[in-house]
Amino acid sequence: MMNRTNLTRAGAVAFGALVLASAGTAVAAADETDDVEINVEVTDRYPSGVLAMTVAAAETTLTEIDSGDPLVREFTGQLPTVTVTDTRSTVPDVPWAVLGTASDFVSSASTISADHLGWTPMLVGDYGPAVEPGGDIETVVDDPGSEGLAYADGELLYVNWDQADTYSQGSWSATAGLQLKVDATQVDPGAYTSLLTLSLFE
Amino acid sequence: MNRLLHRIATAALAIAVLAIPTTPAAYADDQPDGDVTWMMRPSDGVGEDGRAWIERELEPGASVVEHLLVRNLSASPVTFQLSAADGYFTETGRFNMLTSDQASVGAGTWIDIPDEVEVPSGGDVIVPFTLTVPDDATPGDHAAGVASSIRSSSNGEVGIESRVGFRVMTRVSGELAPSLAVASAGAFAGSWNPFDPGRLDADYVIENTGNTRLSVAPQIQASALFGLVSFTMSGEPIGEMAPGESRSGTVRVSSVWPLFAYSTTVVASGAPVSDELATTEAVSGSASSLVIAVPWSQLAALALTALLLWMLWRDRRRREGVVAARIERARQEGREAVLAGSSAAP
Repeated sequence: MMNRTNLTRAGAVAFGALVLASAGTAVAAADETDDVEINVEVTDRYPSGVLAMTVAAAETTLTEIDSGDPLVREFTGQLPTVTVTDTRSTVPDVPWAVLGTASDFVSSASTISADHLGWTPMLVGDYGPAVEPGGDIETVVDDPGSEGLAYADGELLYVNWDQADTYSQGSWSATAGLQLKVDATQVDPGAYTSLLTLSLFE
Repeated sequence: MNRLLHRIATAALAIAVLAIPTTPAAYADDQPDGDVTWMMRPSDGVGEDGRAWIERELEPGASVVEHLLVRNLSASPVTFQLSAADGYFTETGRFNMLTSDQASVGAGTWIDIPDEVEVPSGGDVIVPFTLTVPDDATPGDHAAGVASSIRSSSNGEVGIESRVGFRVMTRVSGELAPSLAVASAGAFAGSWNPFDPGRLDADYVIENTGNTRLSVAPQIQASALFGLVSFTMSGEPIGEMAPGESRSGTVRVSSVWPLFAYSTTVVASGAPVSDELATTEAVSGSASSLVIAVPWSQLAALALTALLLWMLWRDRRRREGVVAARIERARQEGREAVLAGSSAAP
């Protein structure tokens, strides 16, 4: 009996068959055409490879957090991500390192010495044993013997030469949490700035 | 009132905009917005020359032109600041150079380098610079570095200056006098347990008192009982030390029996570092100290044992004495009994 439902169904089936048939034809037709060759020549722009550093474009601000100790004021921030890329074809003789040194925090009226700044380096990814982040550097408030980042040449990221056998080309990223701790009773209010120098040398 | 001040201080320190950077404002205009990737290597004037850093041997008063190559691997052109400064080795043996806010007094002042260079995206620029040795420069090795740097946008409290550079090591010809000075002190830590040996810690400070760069291998030699017991142990080798630098270290020797006194000598053997510059003979320095290691716990144990033995012996003597006295009394009684019996008999 040809009621409307049956008609619709029949139409759908026919349409589907038509589509399949067309597709089949198209596929068959495609197989018959010629392959298109794509040629590209990739030249070695930097034959000996590069040892390069990338610094993310970011401001570094320090915001206050609760230090848990009423006599200590704590400010934290984050270092922009630093990436070292080594694509050199020969393994270098000397391991590279990225070191950080901070200058004193200076405002228009007073100074906070740089040993009040510490950091906790960390790798961004999971790399092998050949490249390691540096150790944490304490502020002088936490450890009176510490120099903080004041000319302490803190290591952010370095190659562990004991693992030189496992060192190979790659790209390694690190960042660091920054902590500025000051004695709450002695600090003068103001807008302070400091300069943190990151150096990549072999 | 304090609360108010506290709040003001918090606000002031958190808001960075008030910060007036002491550095020229030119930085803020020059930095692109995205990440910056770059490298810098020595060059021979044409391209990279394969050197990791520059080492030259020069007469006092001599001047040479060297080149550096800066390659910008970022997406936009970048202007890099170029700088030269005194170089040094850190405590862990890494090379670094003085920061831009510190004044150089040594080999960093011998380098004349342009202030900045603009490098197009993906391109290289080769920059010549001059290394001039002063007429009155002392002979020996002088360390300096050159670097190309960028400054992050200076709106934060902490401005970041990032630099990539390489060493410029100059050996001024003249009398090369490698020498090392060592200072050492040792301490012994015994154990309460007389059957446990103790631990000997030897602290040393090695100073490069010569005028050449040296790599140093420290070694501890200790002997006791006039040489009957002796051992040696190596300390952490120092990869490279520039003239005038000093490095401290400790060697810990475990399982050392306390034999009253150890004569401890720290010997530092220096060797030349560089293959390019003329090699010098090996040099060494040493320092001796006496480490007192009194075997307190062992002596105490011996004393305790002796006391116990003496007490046991004394006890035994006393008991023997008591027994002998009893025997003597018994004999006496026996004699008396015999005498009494014989006198009673007719």
